[in-house]
Amino acid sequence: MNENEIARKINEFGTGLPRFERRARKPKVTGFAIYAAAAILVGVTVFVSIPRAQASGFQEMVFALKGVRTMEAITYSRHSDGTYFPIEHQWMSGSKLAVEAKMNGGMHMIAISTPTDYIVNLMAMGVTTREPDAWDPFHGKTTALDWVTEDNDFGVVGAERTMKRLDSPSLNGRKAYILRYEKSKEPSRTVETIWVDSQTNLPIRCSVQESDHITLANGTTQDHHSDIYTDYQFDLPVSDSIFAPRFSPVVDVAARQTELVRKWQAEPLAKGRKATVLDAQVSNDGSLYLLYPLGYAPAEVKGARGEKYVKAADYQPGGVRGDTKTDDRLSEFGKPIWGAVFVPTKLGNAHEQSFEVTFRPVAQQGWLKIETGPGPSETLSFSARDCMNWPDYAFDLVLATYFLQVDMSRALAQAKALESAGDIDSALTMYLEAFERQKQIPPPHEDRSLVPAEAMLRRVGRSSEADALRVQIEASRVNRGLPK
Amino acid sequence: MQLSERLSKPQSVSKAEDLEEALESVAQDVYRYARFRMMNIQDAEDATMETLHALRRNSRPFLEARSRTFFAIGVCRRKIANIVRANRFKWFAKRPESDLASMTESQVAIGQTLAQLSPEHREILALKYFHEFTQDEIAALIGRSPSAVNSLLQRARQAFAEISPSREVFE
Repeated sequence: MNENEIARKINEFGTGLPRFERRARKPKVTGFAIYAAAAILVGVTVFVSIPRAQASGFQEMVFALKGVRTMEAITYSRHSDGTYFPIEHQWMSGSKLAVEAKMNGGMHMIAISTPTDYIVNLMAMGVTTREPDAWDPFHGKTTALDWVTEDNDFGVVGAERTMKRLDSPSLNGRKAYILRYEKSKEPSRTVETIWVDSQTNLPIRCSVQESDHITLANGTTQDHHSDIYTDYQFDLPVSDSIFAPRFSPVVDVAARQTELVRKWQAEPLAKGRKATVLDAQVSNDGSLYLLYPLGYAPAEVKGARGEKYVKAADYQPGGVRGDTKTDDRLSEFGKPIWGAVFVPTKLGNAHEQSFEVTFRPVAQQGWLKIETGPGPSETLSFSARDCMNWPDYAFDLVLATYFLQVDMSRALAQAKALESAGDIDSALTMYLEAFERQKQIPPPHEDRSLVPAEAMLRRVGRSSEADALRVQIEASRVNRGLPK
Repeated sequence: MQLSERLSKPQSVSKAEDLEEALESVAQDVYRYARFRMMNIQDAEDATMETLHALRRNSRPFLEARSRTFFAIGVCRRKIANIVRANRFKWFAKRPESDLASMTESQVAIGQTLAQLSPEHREILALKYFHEFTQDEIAALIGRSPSAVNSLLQRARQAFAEISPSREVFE
């Protein structure tokens, strides 16, 4: 058999393979029972770019991690006041993994992966959701050590970095050595350091310091600096209560989603020839949450009394990552289901309850973003139900954590609309409100709300107020380790 | 769902869209590479999903890579190594797979031949003849010298030819 024949056969087989379809997956907790990055770290040792001496340091740590049965890890992040505060607490025991994330009020949650369930305790909201056969898209890889190993995976294909093994003074009373990576490619720079116990070869601490400079869609730039470290402890007792639901009744996500799809199939809120509204709810601040099947998307919203609205955000059930089985369950509806939230362009009016929404064909579908294009439009009229801050399906459709971001987007969209309309005082109120809501989402950046507020105030000649904002912005940047 | 500050790094909307498009553009190549290596749907899908997640989480080097496909396959290589280490490797020949129904008899026969090769032989044949990487690229990807790649390729071809049934059997 000659080379051409072999090439032809390999190609024939390769092209005959089915296309890859993204899917939800079961948790592989048992597959990485000795979490602690042990399995991943095995891979680290074979990297061609790591000198032999340094690789042996990893090798020793890998073997030590293989014998681990439980792990407790706490991750700390540098706060805007310069101090470090805990943001994540992890426990691993056998085939169970729990991650408690605590940023601010809204972002306090405990996510638990077991071989059968994915449970999320939304602590600040007093809600527990449970999803059978769900896949934790992060496999619990959330500590600084995991980022280091992930970056090592990237190293093999050319991500530049250097690595050194260094002596270290004792850490937490334990004699240690250091494995340090540095990678620098303008404008980003990352330093990753692992302190390894000299006697047990288990990691004691891992830190990741990263600086970056990114360009936002609107053309502005933003510095990003993160500084986190994780402390590890191994083979200490871990209580079973860590892996239990905290609130009852537990929201059974799978059952609720199936129930909702049946209801929408039987009774959509409004249906035209092309466009359909599955659900519409008005929050206590007048925001309109629309749910619709993709194809035709809402482009313009008008209240029955003439109030104008602007779109603040698009959202897709399943949240930011969308890797649970939510997509699969909702696919029974026939088309992907999307949502959009619109906010009124004025403050203080009585909330509208009835709406006229013009739908247009979807021109572009991006990452949590829908853009409509030209083509035949269709206008539907309907009344919306009242809800609190979020629509009542927020937990059923795994949207709660994403809606924290939407809260900020709502305020920001309203601020921009008010600024365009010349209502500077109201716009300033909403810019500041957006900043407050941003604090619920780590990290609390001032760039998206205070910076445009400062520019607006300077434009209209309110210099002293703009100066005050500038002081706040610069203080925040300095505390986060950024240049003014 | 991940709440650490690192993951919450603000990402520009345009960059996020670019990233999703870039991921879509490499997903099929990554999956096919994984199928050559794993010969098992479930494992190949796992490796592909983990690769896409890794690229999404740490997108900059991926987006800036000279060849995104090359970069993504390199990452996938590591993910496959992790899965193999977890002893979840299944032979194509021993486990009927649902997608065999969509394959021709000839493609199934080639698959069964490939399943009898060593993983490194399957990998190098796929990289050379399906993904069409150069010898130097393959060398960089698998961490061997170009001459070692050449030798490995020769042995892989020889093994494939020896195991492969004659053309008449399935053509």
